Order: sequence, then C-alpha cells, then structure tokens
Amino acid sequence: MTVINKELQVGSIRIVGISASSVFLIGDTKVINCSSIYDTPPESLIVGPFVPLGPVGRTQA
Amino acid sequence: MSRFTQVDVIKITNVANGSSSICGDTGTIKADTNALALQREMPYFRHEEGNYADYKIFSETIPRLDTAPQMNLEIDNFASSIHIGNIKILAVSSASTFQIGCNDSIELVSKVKAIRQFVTNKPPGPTPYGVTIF
Repeated sequence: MTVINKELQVGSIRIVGISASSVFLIGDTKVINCSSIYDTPPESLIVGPFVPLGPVGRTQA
Repeated sequence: MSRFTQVDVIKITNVANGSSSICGDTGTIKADTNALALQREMPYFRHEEGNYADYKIFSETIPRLDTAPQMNLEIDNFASSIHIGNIKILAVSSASTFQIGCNDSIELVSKVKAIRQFVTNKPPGPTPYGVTIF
C-alpha cells in the first residue's frame, strides 16, 4: 500500500482534558498501544476508624 | 517519515503525571503512570502513606501486541506539511500524549487505584486548618 501525504491544515481546536493514557495527535504514526486500568472495587470503600494506608518503602504487603 | 510543521498559537495550561507535549517529529513515545487516588472524609494525610506493593493492579501485566502488523507500506511525505492555527488545551494528564508531527510508535500505560475512606472516629469541632468540614 502506498500513502501519499499532502498538506494537513487545522484551524482551531479547543480541548479541556487529555487524560489516562490518551493520545491527541495531528500527524502520523505507525503503532499506538494505550492501556488504562482504573480499579474501584467495593472493598475500596472503607468505613471505620481512621487508619492510614500502609507506609511507603516496603516491598511486600 | 518527517513533515514540516508550522504552528501559530498553542496554549497549554497543564501537562502532568508522565504526560508529554511534543511539537515536531519523534521516534518512540513510552510513558507510564501509577496513582493511588485516596479520597478521605477527613482531610488528613500522613507524609509517607500508601504503598503500591499492597495493591494488585500495580503489579499486573497488561497483555499487548508486541509486534506491529506486517504490511508493505510506502509513505510518501514529499512536499507534505502540517499547518496549525490555534490550539487551546487545559490539561494533559496521566501518561497522555499531545503531539503535532510524526512518530513511529506510542506506548502508554496508566494505572489508578481509587480508595474512598469514611472515618467514624472524627474529632469534634474545627480541623487543625481552622475549617469546619463536618
């Protein structure tokens, strides 16, 4: 397949947000590989006395 | 793969959390970000709180196509150009990419763990910041 690129003209674009591994591209690319995980299980709703999250620096739970 | 790029005006307010904003050509763009989104009823957060090792999603591998599809592709960029008038972006965030131009490949990964915490032993009265929230 042969692709011949000519002129690409863009007037005005207004964007509020590009978020969570998204792409806004004016141009060319060969491969795009995007993935996003958003985890909100029922267990992540914690009701109880104040307990801070596990401290930084440990390598295991 | 290269093209002449001409831009009049770009206004970007915020580029954050492993994101990129590129004007022109690049090779490969790779970005990843991990985030713990903790929403707590009481606005009190310890300095070194939260460990990615405690949550499975940060160690999970994402299945992806390693090889690009094999095809006979011929691209002729002779006398091709990109002209941009105005672009206004408020935010580019969490391993996202904004580019005007050409690149070879883009690989982006974002992992967010959301936690909501309701506190039952709230202290009475105003918070240490002098703001009553309860």
